[in-house]
Amino acid sequence: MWALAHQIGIGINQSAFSAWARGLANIYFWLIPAMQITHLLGMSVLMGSAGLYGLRLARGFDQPGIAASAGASLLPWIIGAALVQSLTGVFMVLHRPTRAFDSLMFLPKLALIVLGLSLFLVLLYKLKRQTSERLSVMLRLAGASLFSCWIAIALAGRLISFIRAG
Amino acid sequence: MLQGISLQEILTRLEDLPISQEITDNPIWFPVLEAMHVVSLGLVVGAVLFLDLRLMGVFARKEPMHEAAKVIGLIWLAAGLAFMSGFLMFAPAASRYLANTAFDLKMGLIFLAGLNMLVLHLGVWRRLADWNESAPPFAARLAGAVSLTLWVLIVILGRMVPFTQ
Repeated sequence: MWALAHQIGIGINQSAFSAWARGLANIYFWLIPAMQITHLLGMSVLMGSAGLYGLRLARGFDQPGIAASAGASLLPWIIGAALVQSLTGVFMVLHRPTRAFDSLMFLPKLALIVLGLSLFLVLLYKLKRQTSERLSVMLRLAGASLFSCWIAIALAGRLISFIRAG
Repeated sequence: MLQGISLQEILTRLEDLPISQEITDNPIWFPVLEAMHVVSLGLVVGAVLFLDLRLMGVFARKEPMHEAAKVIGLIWLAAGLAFMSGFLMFAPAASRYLANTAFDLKMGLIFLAGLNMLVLHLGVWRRLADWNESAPPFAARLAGAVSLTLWVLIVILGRMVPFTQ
């Protein structure tokens, strides 16, 4: 699997898109630091919204009726931050594809992002249809999983540069 | 006790601590500490961001402030982790970090953010019951805006540390 990931990295590295990203980064020296900062801020927004919402669910709300509306008010922020993360992330991968694809952390990070976003949406759907006054144990456990998922995403992202395959 | 000891001597002593030597010699420490620092700082900034937006009255206005403020305990925990991991990264190269403009500015802004939080808690936060479910007063909105600006700048400067002298 990692050999295939390595080949994908090399393939992207030889593509015109990757050459374009490297060319831009060579012209504008501030572009990569700016992308990294934006990516970091976007990750903070996702941790503060989807991640902490999971933690709040796990702890339980004083007024359970608020849980669904609190989640819904976070949705535009999560969608916005996910878009920003996708754009900056794709650019950084195009700039140095093998850095990402040769890391043991990159593909698990992508899988965790899909899981984290899906879990948030499923939780929101369930909460909107909840009729009981108290949050169920399952919902609270799912909240704890959502929080853990976003911590794992941030950890995996930071360790991309350090944990290499092979 | 510190009388007569120069700043450079303090920095050198920090760099010579056994824990500093261990962090320098063992390559596993830096990635572990950096990951811990970034994740805990991400949590602090993420939690503070939404709390500040609520304080400013531009987000989740219908949610009682005391519900939104339940994340404050976690902010302290994450800030403690960020401080501890940050200090352990700072100690082995204290002189180099202190000579870095972005690092110095980041530390200054963290101090200001702490001061802003202290002023908020000693002031308008004591009368939270009055505005728990209504629009926050001007002092709370101002504290939220100042905090939001400071934490965004702290993240920017933190990322600039490796790129500056």
